[in-house]
Amino acid sequence: MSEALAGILLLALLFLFFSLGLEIAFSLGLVGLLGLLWLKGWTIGLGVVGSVAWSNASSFSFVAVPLFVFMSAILLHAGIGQSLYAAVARWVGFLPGGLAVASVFACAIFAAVSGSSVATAATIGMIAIPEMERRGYHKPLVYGSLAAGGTLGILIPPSVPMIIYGVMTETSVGQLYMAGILPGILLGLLFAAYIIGYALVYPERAPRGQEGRAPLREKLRSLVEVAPIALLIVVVLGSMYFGIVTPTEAAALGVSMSLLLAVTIGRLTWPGLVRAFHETVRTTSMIMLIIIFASIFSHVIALLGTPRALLGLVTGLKLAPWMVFSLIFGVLILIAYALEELSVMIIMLPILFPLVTGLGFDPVWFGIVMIVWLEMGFITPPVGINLFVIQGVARGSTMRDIAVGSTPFVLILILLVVILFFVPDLALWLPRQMMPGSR
Amino acid sequence: MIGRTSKAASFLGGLATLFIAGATTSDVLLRYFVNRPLLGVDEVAGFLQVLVVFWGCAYTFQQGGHIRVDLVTSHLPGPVRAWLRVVTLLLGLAFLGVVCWVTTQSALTAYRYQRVSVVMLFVLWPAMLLIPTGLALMAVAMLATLRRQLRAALGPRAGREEVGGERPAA
Repeated sequence: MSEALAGILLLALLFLFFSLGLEIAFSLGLVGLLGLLWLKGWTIGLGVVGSVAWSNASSFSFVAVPLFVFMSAILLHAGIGQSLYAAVARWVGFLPGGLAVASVFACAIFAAVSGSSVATAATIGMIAIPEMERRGYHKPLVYGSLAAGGTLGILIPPSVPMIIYGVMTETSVGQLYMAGILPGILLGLLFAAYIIGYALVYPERAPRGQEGRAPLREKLRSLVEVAPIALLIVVVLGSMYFGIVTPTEAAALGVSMSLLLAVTIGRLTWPGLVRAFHETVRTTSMIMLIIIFASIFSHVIALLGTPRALLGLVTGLKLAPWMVFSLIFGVLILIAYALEELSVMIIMLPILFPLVTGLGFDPVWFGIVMIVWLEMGFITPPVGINLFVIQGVARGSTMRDIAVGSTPFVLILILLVVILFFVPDLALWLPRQMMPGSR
Repeated sequence: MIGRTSKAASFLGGLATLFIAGATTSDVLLRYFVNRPLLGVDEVAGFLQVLVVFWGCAYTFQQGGHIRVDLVTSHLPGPVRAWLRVVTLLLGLAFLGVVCWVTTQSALTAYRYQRVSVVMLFVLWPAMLLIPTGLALMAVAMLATLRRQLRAALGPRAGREEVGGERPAA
């Protein structure tokens, strides 16, 4: 019990630093450092800080993070979104709310080459938002479909948060990737179904146009335009699925192919590439500093034995696993409305992961649940990152419209978690089919 | 000056990422098609990632990229926020100072014992020195912000606010 108490005290100190406005990475490092000095003394404590910083920063598994961020940035600045959105709109434009459905599907396809929800929302949003506004679509529907569609970027592989989850918990990133595919497709379909239903109830909010009535020849030609993207997806995901490459190597292949593609279609300029450089460094540095200093913190939590104590406490309560899970998820939903989720995931994993797997839940399955939770957090006000992305892309948009438009999609994400709880095979079936060498 | 240096360091980080991608791709292609892998690519990639992370953190700081929570502070009056930022900058600088010192010591120890990497036996200390140098650059950028923040906190009442340059994102 005293271990659990000490852990809770450190967590309280951490949240104190957070609320003072100290950088999240520094808060984690400072609390971790204080804990180490207290438990291990000056010499050993400082030695741990040095070795943790080096081993995390130089880990080859984490190299996939800058590579996938770079790949998304290249594709964003090469304007890949344009041909992709046009092609998808030609095929599904006939549906009620067709342009919004096309946004979601274009996001889902782009998600298969992008590991970030921000890049996905920005790439497709830049093209789709003006298109839908011109047509007179209801603003909350426009913004909501893009903010939510963008979050598919981290559920459909590749996915930067999955790399972080996988490396931190020693779960296979390749298996996590495969586990995200079917839930990702289902989620895209659920989003589309909601949009179609909405457009049927309020037809005036999603006026119909001419897309989808294009002749078959034109539709087929649009497929040729997006063929390079399809090739990129096949290479990046296929090479991993068949166990030819590790996730980091797949990311490197993806970067090389994206560069080749961007140069071939002639849309990548030198200033664009430099912008992609800086974006990559900024995102990588932000995420990795949090990971590095969080691992000092989690080292302390592990030394204290907090996860084990917590597991003992929870099993002592004799609650059914589903009750514990609902409790945890309920708290997580509240957190999603308050804090920046990726940092929270990094901080909470060392405590949550042993607890949840100790109760008998599958580590890969829990990884997918955490990703869906992140998606939820990305579109919940006041700090959902995708809401800010849409605000940046859509001129003249209000945060209110964006948040209102995103809310139904939050409910769909909660529904997906419920489905995953009752049908865990939705996530776990595909990883089981992988080539043995790639697991 | 600080801005230009940190931007140049970030640019180097971008180049390093490009190099990692190229080298790893070559390794995969050579291994798959002619069964001749490039040994040591993963080790070099790891070293270069240290450069991306730590030489990039000063620029990231200046761009407001290191996430902070403003849920509480955004409800406080401007002057309080100005002084609170002075406190958090000092806390951050103290922490950076300790980490800089520790990682410099680690690099010096690695130099003294000529520590090498596992596969290719590369000497480790140059890559290890990337950590304290990058963090020192970030500390300089934070000191510049601290100076501006102190001026704002001590200056005319209307200007007592958290200074810009870094955006509390979340």
